[in-house]
Amino acid sequence: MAQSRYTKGAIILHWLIALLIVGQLCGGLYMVGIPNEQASLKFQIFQLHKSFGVTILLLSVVRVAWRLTHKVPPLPEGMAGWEKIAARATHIGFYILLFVTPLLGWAYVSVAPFNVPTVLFGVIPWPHLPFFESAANREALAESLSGFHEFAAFSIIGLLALHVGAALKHHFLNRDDVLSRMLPFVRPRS
Amino acid sequence: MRVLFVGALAALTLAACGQSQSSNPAAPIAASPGAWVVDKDASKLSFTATQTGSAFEGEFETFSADIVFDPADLANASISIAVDTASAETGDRQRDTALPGSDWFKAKEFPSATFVSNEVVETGEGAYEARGKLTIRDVTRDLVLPFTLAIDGGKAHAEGGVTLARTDYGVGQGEFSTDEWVGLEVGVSFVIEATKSE
Repeated sequence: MAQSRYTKGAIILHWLIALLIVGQLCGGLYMVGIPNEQASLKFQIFQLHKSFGVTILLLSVVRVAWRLTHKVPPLPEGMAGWEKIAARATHIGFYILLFVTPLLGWAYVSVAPFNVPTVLFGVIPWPHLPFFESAANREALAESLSGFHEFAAFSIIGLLALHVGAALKHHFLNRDDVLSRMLPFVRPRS
Repeated sequence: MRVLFVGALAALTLAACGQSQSSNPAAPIAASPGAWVVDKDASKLSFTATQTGSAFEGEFETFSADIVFDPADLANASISIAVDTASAETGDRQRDTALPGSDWFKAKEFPSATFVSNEVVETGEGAYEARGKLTIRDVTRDLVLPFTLAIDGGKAHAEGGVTLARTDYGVGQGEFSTDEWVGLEVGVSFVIEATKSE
């Protein structure tokens, strides 16, 4: 019989990354609105945003490695074909955005005219992406990358709505194990 | 962030070298009368600046100085300082990573900032001015560097400082060429301890 819950590692990675993503979305939406007059706050929030973004990127590498080496519980029986496809597509979309979003941010930082080195949490130096650092026409490229990064962030918000909505629907309407098997400290419904 | 550099100087003297033996013009500075050897551990070249409104201090860990100075023979005094622009440290890794970068010192292309005196004049009791040229990146400007000097036997203690506008020297390019993120004024100060060379 297939396992009924996600592994402990998968649960930890899922919620840790989820927490970081929500924080990054809030922080990202907040920081772009900070007026330049509040230079110190703005600067520090941006440095933190970069630090957490790289953290998500690295954790995502671990997460994909974990996903490829561990079994996941199957989707509940009785889901319609389109529902299964939607669920899988949402998950794949998340995996893609987990990499694409921070990579776009990293590329942006590397090419941005506001040229500030990245030092993760003020401690670990993190390089610029080589190609972007030496790109021609940095200003235009930076503007495009910034737009793509923002688009990726809003895509995450869209997927989050689907993902959370579906999880709650499974839990409260279908009354199945889909949500609880990813929750820490919760025993599966018998 | 950022900051600068500069010239430090030092001064010193030579007392007993009044004897004007015609020295060999080809001889190295260290061998000329009135030459001083800087005690690197006891000497300090520091700077203050502001980043996003907060003041910070830094230091150039590496610099060298060729000093020939006799209070009784100022006409032959000369002070030449070379500062390793990649050696700036401010206690903040983010800043310290930025400083050698292309927007700031561009240390790969301009590894040293220099001050070379044209003349040294006395402005008061134990007070002097070194007037010369300061070069940072590819910009050279006239600079008057005031300092005080006390000589005790073979030891000299000099200190002084100057306030520079970093953008006069191109330190802070692009987004950093205004004071929006990093203040334009940079205070540079130095303390030099030197020993008369034998």
